[in-house]
Amino acid sequence: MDRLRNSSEPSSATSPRAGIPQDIVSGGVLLAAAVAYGVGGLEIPAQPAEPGPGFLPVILAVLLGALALAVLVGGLRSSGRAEPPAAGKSSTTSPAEARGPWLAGLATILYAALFQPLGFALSTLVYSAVLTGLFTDEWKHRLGVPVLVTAALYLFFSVALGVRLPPGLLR
Amino acid sequence: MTPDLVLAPGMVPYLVGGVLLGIVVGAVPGLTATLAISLLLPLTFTLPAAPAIVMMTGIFTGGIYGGSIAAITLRIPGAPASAMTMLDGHAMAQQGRAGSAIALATTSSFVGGIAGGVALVLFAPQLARVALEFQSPEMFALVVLALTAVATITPESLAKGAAATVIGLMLATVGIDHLVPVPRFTFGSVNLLVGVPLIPVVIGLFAVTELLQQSGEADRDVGSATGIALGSTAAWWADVRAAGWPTFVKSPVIGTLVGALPGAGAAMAAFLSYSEARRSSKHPERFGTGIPEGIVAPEAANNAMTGGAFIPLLAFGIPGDAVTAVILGGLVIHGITPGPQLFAGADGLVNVLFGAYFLSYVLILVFGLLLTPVFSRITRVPRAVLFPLIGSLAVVAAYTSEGTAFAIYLTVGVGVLGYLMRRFGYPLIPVLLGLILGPMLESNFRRSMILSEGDPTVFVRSPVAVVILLAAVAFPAWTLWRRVGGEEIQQEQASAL
Repeated sequence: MDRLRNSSEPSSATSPRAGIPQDIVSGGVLLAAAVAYGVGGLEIPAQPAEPGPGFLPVILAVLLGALALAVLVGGLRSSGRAEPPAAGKSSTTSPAEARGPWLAGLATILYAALFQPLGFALSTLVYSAVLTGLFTDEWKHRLGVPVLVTAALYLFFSVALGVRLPPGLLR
Repeated sequence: MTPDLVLAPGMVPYLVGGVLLGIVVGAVPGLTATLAISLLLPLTFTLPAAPAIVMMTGIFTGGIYGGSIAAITLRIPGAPASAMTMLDGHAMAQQGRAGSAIALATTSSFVGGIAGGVALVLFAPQLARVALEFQSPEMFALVVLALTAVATITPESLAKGAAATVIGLMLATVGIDHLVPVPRFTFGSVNLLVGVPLIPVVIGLFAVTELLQQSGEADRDVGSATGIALGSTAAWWADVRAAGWPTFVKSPVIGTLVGALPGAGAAMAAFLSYSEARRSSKHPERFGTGIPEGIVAPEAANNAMTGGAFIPLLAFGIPGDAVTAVILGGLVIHGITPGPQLFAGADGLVNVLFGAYFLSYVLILVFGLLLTPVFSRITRVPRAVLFPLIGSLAVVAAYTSEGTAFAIYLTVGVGVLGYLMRRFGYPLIPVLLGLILGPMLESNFRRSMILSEGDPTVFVRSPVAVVILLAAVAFPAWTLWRRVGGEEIQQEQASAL
């Protein structure tokens, strides 16, 4: 049986976590990014021939700040008009569906971190086992797919293309 | 230059591999030609430029065609471009005529693809010649036009599309400045001195993001294929005749024009062509019930789009859609600069691309008509096999591209960023376009300003630059106008689906 069944798209109006309108969250994050990037742009030393290397970053920061404000204001206005979902029609995702991307993301981050220390074979085996587990409960897949993926990638990159993959613990 | 459309025999295996890979990836719901080329880019490092171009072309054309297979057999568009094909294609499949529907989609794809290719061969060299006359102000205006066009990719929120473009431009400012040796936003990292590497960003945006997105979505209902019989393709010619020649003529024209427009893409081509076929039909009420025109119109248009999308890419270095944006990245990585220089080059790479393009559609016709039963089985590959492979391939491909752990971290970081952007309704293609076109935008702007001694009127002294800049303003204006009347279009689209 597949685990991640019967999912629905997250509501476009509200954040899946806290019920805060998504546009307010993303607009706020963009505004902070614009300020940080703009400060970095202003620190680039001026040049005799202007516009210099700091010119575009400052323009981009101003532009992103304005766009962030537009998204933010749009989010604030739509949050005032937000209506509760119709009865019997849920706009939220199930816990398993909400967990999926975060588990996959965490597994991918750990795979990236352990790729060199553990080596290609071990890290790929573990990573693909975790990902397979996210998509199925069938044991034949959970055991077979990681071995298949690791072997296929090894044959393709190392044997066929001659790429030196990190051996890690199997050195 | 007289185009030589005959592909060297040594290139054919690469093209066959590319087309088959494209069809397979395109046929699997959720996977796109953009993702396939993203993952392929590091692998092309081991190839000379010509076979790399051939393979990418094959994946592009095969990927657009492959999307129709799942749309017809499963009622799941393999790619967004096939959403309109699904309506009449699946209805035909439910009547036991899936084989005929796929054969019709194959024929339409062939006709559309060849028509788009003819436009490519006729117009791209002419436009490249025009581009030779362009100075810095005109080039700056052209990049602005491309960026504003692609920023309008999310018509429901112009601000989000524009913000995504700006994020891409911001990424492009990382590294040592192109005109003055000053480091920008490198945070002391040696890895960032040469800028943000393209391949990890491409893989992160399209492969890792897709993995994260899919791991939070429902398993697609592959059971809907149950009871779908391929049936005979004997009625294929009768279907071709029933569709009528006007559909076979109009649809490729629409597709080619849409393809040449930066940011519009195959889905837009298919939708406009389907709408036009229904509007001009004597029996519009039969659309959606499994009529040949309902397959021919979107398939001929979205495949003609591939030829159209190559025109601005080759002539100006401005990609027409998502896949050509990634292909542009691939060309840059191989040291190829699209534009007039490419046509003037003695290495004949343009002819290689032209030859590969036309032959790819011949291969699609052959494979599509002979291997339909095989392709229809591909659509049922379990996601439990597919996504572990994509995730692992993404990380290993990123490592291979740069040979550093930094490339992997960047890939994963960009993937997470891309996932969050998609979740919050921001498009990803403008990020890539911003990253690729950012240096071109900045260097042409600054060069113009320095040469004019700081006089900003340099951008309005040239009539060509003025016209292009006006078009750049018209794009967002048109999007806003369309949004005002958008409810009507959305209702039409919803009723069609």
